[in-house]
Amino acid sequence: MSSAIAVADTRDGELCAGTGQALAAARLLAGADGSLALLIVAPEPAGLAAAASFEGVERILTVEAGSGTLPSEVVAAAASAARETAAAAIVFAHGPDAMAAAPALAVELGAALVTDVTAIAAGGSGSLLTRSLYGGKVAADLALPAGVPAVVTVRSGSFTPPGEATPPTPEPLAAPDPDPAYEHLGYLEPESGNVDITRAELLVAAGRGIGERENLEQIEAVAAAFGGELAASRPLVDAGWVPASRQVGQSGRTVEPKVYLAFGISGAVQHLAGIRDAGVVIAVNSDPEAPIFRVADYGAVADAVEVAEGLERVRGG
Amino acid sequence: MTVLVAIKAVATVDEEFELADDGLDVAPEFVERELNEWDSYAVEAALRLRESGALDEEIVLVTVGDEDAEEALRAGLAMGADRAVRVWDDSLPGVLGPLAAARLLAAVAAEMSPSLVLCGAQSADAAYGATGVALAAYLKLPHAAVVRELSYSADAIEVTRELEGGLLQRLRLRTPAVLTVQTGINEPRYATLRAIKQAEAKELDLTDPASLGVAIGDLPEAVLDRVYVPAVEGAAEMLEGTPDEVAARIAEVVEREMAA
Repeated sequence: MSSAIAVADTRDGELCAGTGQALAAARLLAGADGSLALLIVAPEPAGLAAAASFEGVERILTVEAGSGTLPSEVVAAAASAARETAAAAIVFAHGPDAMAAAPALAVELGAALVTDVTAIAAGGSGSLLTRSLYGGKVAADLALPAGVPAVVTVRSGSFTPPGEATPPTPEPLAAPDPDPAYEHLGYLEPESGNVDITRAELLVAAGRGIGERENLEQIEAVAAAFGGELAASRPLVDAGWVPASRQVGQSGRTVEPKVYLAFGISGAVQHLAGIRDAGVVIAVNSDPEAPIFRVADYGAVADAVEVAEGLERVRGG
Repeated sequence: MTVLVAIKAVATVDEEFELADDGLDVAPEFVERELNEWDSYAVEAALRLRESGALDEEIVLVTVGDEDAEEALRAGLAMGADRAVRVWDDSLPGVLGPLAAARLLAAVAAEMSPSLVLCGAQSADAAYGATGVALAAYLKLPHAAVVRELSYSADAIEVTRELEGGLLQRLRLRTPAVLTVQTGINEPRYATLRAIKQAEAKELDLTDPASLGVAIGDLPEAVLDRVYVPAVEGAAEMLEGTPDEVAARIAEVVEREMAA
């Protein structure tokens, strides 16, 4: 019998969506009969434990962390939990926290490491883990080595969280000794300007394909004309054209508008991860091979700015 | 002392491609290699630390890769790095797992005792997002992943890490430390023709796993079973016509869906 641990994805005293998804992947790795534990490393973990209503979780292990949870705390807590439960797999939701902790945990435990996993198939001789290569052009299946645990991180939206159930009584574990090599200095909230693109019903998004910075005004004009919010892919945020609060994708926001209208966005996997739950995706891009056309409902191979001008005219009457 | 920048010559795959006969990778004739985008930010960060006077040290590039990886090293040297080390022998698999890459890079780093190690936060091709932090773990050095800002002093480094949705975390780390760098931390410079020419003459050493005392086979790396082209999720309905015609169709769809 096998056991697996999911490490809770938390922020600001709340469980994030990645927690249920990591649990679902941990269940697949543990097998239907395997035992499943949820590890919560956070300041004041008791409240999070009470909210962790997931079916199939046998144990909830909690570790009290400092105000800014440090990767070193997560690694130490996960390593001791993995040893205590003889876990065959420790699963994280892929993202900046997991990128800081999972590789160090794998080295600490002498474990295998497979990150950004999109599917897990149970096989006779062991699980096959699927991940993307070359920006999603090909997928790769990997087999885990026998006799060692595996540290796995899973891509957002790839696994369906378990149903609801009353959480088991949490079991507090000893907090690891603080590591003097690290000091948390504080969080900086994004400059949002009171924008929350995750709540918008219509997002009009711009990417590198819009060309010059001045063309951004044209995309903003379309957003304004149709009553939508402006969003952007990472390169425009990196260039400082658009604030980070409007960034869609793995390192930005996951959005679920009714309509996502993308101008000049090629559709890197990191971006597409953020629009998985969008209703209708419309993409305008001059490159007919742009990956976004593979996930869009409507596509147009055209100059993004010319179409945006056209849209403003249509709407302007 | 040294600032070590670990880089990767990432593979970019042509739009049209075929898989290799063994089914374990894209066939090599459909692949180009270039300096990983994230790593160019790491090289730039090292150069800026030196130019600002925060660090007055030799900047060394290191990579694990075959001969085709040398162009990426030369690109980093042309940006201004001083010398480069390439780790390879032909027994290494073409697609290296994240532990193997990190273990080899760590062995090179251990010989130099660098005051700072910089890496890209992820590679554009395999995108494990793991090598830098695993490298730090092998070296038992403090680390920070997905760094957007950094300031360096001899005994501590302050970084701003990028979390999700624009949230940032500020951390202080004891040095030496390993940082993985996010795009947008700076603006990588373009090498001048003169610098590209000068880079040809810079020292580029080759070493191999055996000389570093590393046996890759001992690592608990996952085993690649096969690669394949994933099923397409369903093609988009393509809108044809002049930009104005396309715009009119898009407006129709948007209005219909928003009213639904």
